[in-house]
Amino acid sequence: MEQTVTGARRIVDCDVHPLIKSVSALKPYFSKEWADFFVPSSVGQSSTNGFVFARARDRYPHPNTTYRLDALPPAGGPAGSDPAFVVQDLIEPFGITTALLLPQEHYGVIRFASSAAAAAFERANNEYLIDHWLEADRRFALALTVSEHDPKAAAESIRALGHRNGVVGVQLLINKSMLGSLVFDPIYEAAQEMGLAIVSHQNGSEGCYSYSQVPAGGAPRFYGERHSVLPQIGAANVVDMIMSGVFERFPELKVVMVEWGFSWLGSLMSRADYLWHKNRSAAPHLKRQPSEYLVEHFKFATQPLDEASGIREFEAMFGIPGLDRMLLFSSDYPHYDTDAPDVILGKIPEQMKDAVYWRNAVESFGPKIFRQ
Amino acid sequence: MPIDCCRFAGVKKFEDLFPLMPGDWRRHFDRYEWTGAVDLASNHIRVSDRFSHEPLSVFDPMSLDMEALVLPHQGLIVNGWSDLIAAGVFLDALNDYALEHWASQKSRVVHVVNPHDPAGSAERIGRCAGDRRIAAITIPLMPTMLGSVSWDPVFRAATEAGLPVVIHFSGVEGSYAGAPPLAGAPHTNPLSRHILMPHLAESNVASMIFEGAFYRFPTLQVLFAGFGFKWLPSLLRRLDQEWRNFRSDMPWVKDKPSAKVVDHIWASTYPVGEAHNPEIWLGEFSEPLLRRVVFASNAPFDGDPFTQVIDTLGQEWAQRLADNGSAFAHPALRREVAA
Repeated sequence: MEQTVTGARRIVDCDVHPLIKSVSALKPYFSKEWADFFVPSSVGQSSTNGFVFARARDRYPHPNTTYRLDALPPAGGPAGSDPAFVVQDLIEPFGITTALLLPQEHYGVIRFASSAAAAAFERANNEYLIDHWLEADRRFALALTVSEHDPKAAAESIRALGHRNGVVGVQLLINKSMLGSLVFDPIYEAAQEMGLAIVSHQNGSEGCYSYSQVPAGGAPRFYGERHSVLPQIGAANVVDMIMSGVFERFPELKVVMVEWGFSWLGSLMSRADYLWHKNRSAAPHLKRQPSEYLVEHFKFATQPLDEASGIREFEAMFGIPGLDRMLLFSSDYPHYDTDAPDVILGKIPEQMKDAVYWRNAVESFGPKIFRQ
Repeated sequence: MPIDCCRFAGVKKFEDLFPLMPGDWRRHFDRYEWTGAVDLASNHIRVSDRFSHEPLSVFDPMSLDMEALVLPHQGLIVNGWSDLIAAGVFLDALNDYALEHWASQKSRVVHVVNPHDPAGSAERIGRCAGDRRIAAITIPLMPTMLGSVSWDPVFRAATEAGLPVVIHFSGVEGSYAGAPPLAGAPHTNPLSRHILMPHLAESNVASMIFEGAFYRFPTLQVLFAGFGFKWLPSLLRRLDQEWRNFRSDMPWVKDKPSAKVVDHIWASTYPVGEAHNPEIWLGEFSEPLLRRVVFASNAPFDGDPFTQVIDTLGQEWAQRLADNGSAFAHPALRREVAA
C-alpha cells in the first residue's frame, strides 16, 4: 500500500455516515407487514440526502447542501451510500484503520410516532449495515442505532446484534428525555453487558419539533445561529447523566459524544465541580466530583475542530484538564463540514497524537475496534 | 477603585410596594398567595426549591464600600408570570421603590423593563432617561431572544438614554411555562439546571450577533451578569466558524462575530470560584476579551467579595477589573442629563 498522507499511526475515525441507496434495500429485513408499511409509502424512496430525515427542513433549511458534492459515488446514490467508494475516498487516502459508522437515516426515526415502527426500522437498518458494510471491509465498525421509543425493544436488539463482528457501540438518539433519565436504564444495562459504548451524535431534530430537545434561551432564527448553539444540548446531556447517577448505576459504561464540540469542557467542568462542592447534597447520587466521572466515562470527538486565533489560544484549548484522555478523532465524512483527516490530525499536539488517533478509541470501544 | 457592576436589592415584604400601586391594583395584589410568595421571588438562584436563601436583609445604600449597580432582582421573575398586565403594575411599583430606597451617591439602580410590553417599556425608559439615579436597564429573559427586532424599541430607548443593559437570569428559566428553556429537556437534577445557566447567555449573545442587533444599535452595551465568563472563548470560536461557513446566509453580519462581541458584550466575574487556576484557561482569552470582564459581587446572595475575586484570579486583575468596570459603567454613571 502507498504511504498515506497521515503517516504510520493507526487512526480511528469516529464519525463516518453511511446511507442506504433506496428504502427498498431494507425490504429483506422487514416482516411483510413492515415492508408494506415502509417501502411503498415512505417519506421518499431515495434522495441525494437519505430517505428519512430528522431536521425540519422548512424550519431550518441548510444554506447549501449537508453533504460534499465530491463525496457522491460515481456509480450513483447519496454521498456515503457506497462502501467501496468510502474506502476509496476516505479510508485508503488517509490511512484510516477503522471508520466508525454512525448511520444517518436512523435520525429520521426521531419523527416516528409509532414505537413499533421505530423498532422495526432501527432493527432492519442495523441488520442491513452489518450485512452490507461490515461485510464489505474490515475497516468499518458500526454503532447500532436505537431510540427511546421502546427501550425494552432497544435492549433486545442490542443483545441480539451486539456480538456481531464489527459492532462496537450503540448510537442512542437524543429525543424527548435527557440521557440521565431512568428511561434509558434498559439500554445502558444491555450496552454495558455487551461491552458496547454509548454514542451520541446530533440528529438534526434538535430545536425542530414540539417534543425535541432545544438549545437554551429560545428558538434561534436560522440555520447558522442554531448550529452555533447546538453543542449546548450535548453538554446538557453530559451533565444530566453525571448528576443523575448513571455511572453509579452502570460503572463500566462508556459514552462517546460526537459532533458536540469539546472546547466548552474546561468551563463546564470547573463550574460543575465548583457548584457541586457548594451543594453536594443536591446531587445525592454522586460520590466524586463531576469532572472525575466526566474524564473517566466520556470521550469527545474532534470535529468540528475549533479554530484558535493563535498558538497561545490553541495550547490553552488543548490544555483542558483531562482532555488527553477524552479526545477522539472524527472527520464527519461525507458532510459539508468534514474535517480533512490530514489537516486535523496534523494539528493535534504531538504528546496527544497516539491518544487522539486511536488509544482513546480503544479505551471506549475495546480492542474490537480493530478487526482482524 | 472597582465598581460592583451587579449586586441586588429586594423588598422584604411585597406589601411595601402597595403604597406605590394604584388603589384597584393594591386590592388585586393583596392576597396571601402573592404576598406569601415573596420568598420565592427573593430566591435569586431559583433553579429549584432545593436551593434557598436566608431571608433578605434590608439593603442600605449608604453601606457600600464601592460604587455599585443595584438590580431589583425580584422584578426578573415576571418572566415566569402568566398575568402580563399585572407584571407591568408590579414592575412600575418596584422600579419606583428602588429609586426611592436604593439609590445613593454610590448605588445606582438598574431599571427593570417589562418584557411583556417593549413599547411601553421604551416609553418609561425615555421618561427616566434624565434620572441620574438610574445607571442601566435590565430585561427579564424571554423566549424571544435578545437579537429579535421585538426588542428594538427597548434598545433604542436605552441607547438614546445612554444606558447599558444588564442581563441576569431570574431562576425560573427551564422551569416555568412561558419562560425561556434551558438546553436539552427538563433535567433530572436541580444541580444540572444551575450548572447549565450560562447557556442562556451564550444563546442570547449568538442571537444578538447573528441577528444584527449591534448594527441597528451601534452604541448598545450588554452585560451578562452572574453567568461567569469562562464560556466566552469557546462560544466565540464557534460563532466565528459558523459565520465563516454561512456568511452568505447572513449578509447583514458584516464583521467577524468575535470582533463585535469585544465591542458590545460584557461578562461578570461571579461566580469566581469556577475560575480558579487561571494559568489553565487564561491563554484562551485575547487581550480585547479580557477587557470585557467586569467585577460583580452578586451580593447579598452568596456573593464574591472583591478581595476573594483577586485572590482567585491574581493581583493583576485588580486594575483590570477597575478599568473594565469604569469602561462599562462610567458612561452611564457620569452621563450628562438635562436639569
